[in-house]
Amino acid sequence: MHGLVNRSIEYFARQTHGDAVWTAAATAAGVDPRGVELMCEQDDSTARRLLHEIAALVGCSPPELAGDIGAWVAQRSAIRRLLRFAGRDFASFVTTLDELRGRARLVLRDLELPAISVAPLPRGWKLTPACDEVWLHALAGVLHAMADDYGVLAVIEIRGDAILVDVPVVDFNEGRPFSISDPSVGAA
Amino acid sequence: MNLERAALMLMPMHLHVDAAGRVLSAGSTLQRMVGPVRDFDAAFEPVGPVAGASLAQLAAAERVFLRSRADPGQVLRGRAIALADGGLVFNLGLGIGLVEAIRNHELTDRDFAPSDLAMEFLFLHEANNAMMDELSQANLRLEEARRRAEAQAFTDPLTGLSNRRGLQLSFEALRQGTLHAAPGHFALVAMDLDRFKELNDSRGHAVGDAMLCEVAARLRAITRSCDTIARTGGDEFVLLLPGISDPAALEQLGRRIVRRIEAPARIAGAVSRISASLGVAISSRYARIDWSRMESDADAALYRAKREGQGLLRIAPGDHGEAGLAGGRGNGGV
Repeated sequence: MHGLVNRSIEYFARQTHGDAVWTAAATAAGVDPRGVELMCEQDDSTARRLLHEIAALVGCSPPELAGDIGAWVAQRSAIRRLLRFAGRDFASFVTTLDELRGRARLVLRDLELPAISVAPLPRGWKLTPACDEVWLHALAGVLHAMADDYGVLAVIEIRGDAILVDVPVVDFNEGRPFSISDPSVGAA
Repeated sequence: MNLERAALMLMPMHLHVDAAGRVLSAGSTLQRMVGPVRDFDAAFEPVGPVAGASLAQLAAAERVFLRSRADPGQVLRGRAIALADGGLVFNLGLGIGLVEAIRNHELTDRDFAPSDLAMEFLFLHEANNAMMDELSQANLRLEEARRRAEAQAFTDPLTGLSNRRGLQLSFEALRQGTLHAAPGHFALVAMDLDRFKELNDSRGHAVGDAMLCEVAARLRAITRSCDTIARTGGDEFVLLLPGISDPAALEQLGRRIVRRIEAPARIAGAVSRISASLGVAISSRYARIDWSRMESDADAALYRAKREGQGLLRIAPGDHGEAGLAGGRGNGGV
């Protein structure tokens, strides 16, 4: 797994729960608490152990934590901008999620994101990512954050190995401002 | 819709002019960038390989480069095709100036044809910047860790003085004249504590260690910031003193050091007294500056000092041998 994934977990833990939580979780997971090596391929089990330890410390389940991390990552201004590039509205964002894996690879050869297939529903979409439960929750977290970003009222529900996105109100509010040309617009 | 209209609609950066250069149609994105255009010559200047070309010559060129007169920083590139009626149709693009053009003209994805890779290019540009930021952060952290590790590797953990490796590094820097703007001569002083073993044996290692730290502090106080002070063994110290090669000055300094070290030290509630012997090698006495040669000569001078008494300083003869010592023989007794 790419070091960037573990780095995201580290930043999330530090910023959301404090350095002490990160240090304790990293030590328990056998990871150098000074910080994750960014560009190194890391054992898949590292992320799993980190999630497990952090979840235990903050009192939630690893999938719940993955959902929080997904939403948090999608709100980092650099990532949020890259995600917004995928579509001018929430509908085109969701329907082009099958490109996400290719976009990620374009940027970082070794960053393996799950392939996502998107099927339309009467009032939304059914997403079926080829991934485990933790990634599924992380992706649902990203979708929550991006629905808010686009100003769309969306109900996002995990059912089995799929995510159901139901959009009862398309223009719920203005959403967060975004400009392709000006990174300061809508920046946190 | 006929093919002509459809084709032009598919090209938001097109320009259609008649034989006289009057603009018949211009794409929406092109108009956003250069404003309303009525006349080709008033709006554009052919530049680069097509500088000064007429409309007919532009139609023959494989690639045309047009500078916008409204925004001279903006050069568009594309191709022109001559039409049967003498007119021309251009399809233009932003080329490598894409990111800047998007910023300057506040373009959005709606301004580009869906087949255009402009958005992907922009996506990559941003992703690249974000990764570079992250990487340079990571690099800073690594650099800091490297510095810390290096400092530890060259430091004696007990006293905080240089260790043997740090000393050799300073010596090498001195030898190459890089430590100081004006490379000059220097002195290497080997120092050994007298009566330290008795102190260690009678009052224990903890007191011995405290005494070593006290000696380090006194040496720091008496030397300059450009000097290197190292602890190279139990009670063995080495000083590198740049810019000092005069034997009389060294004897003077030696006396000060010995006096300072002989001053009573209160450690763990009791006063202890030790002394020090010094052996000196002076770089100006060697044709070739060599670490192991100077170090062993300074050591030999130190042993001579120790043999002859306590609190003495002796200077090694260097290349000149004992014979050359006549006036320079150290007599740094206190």
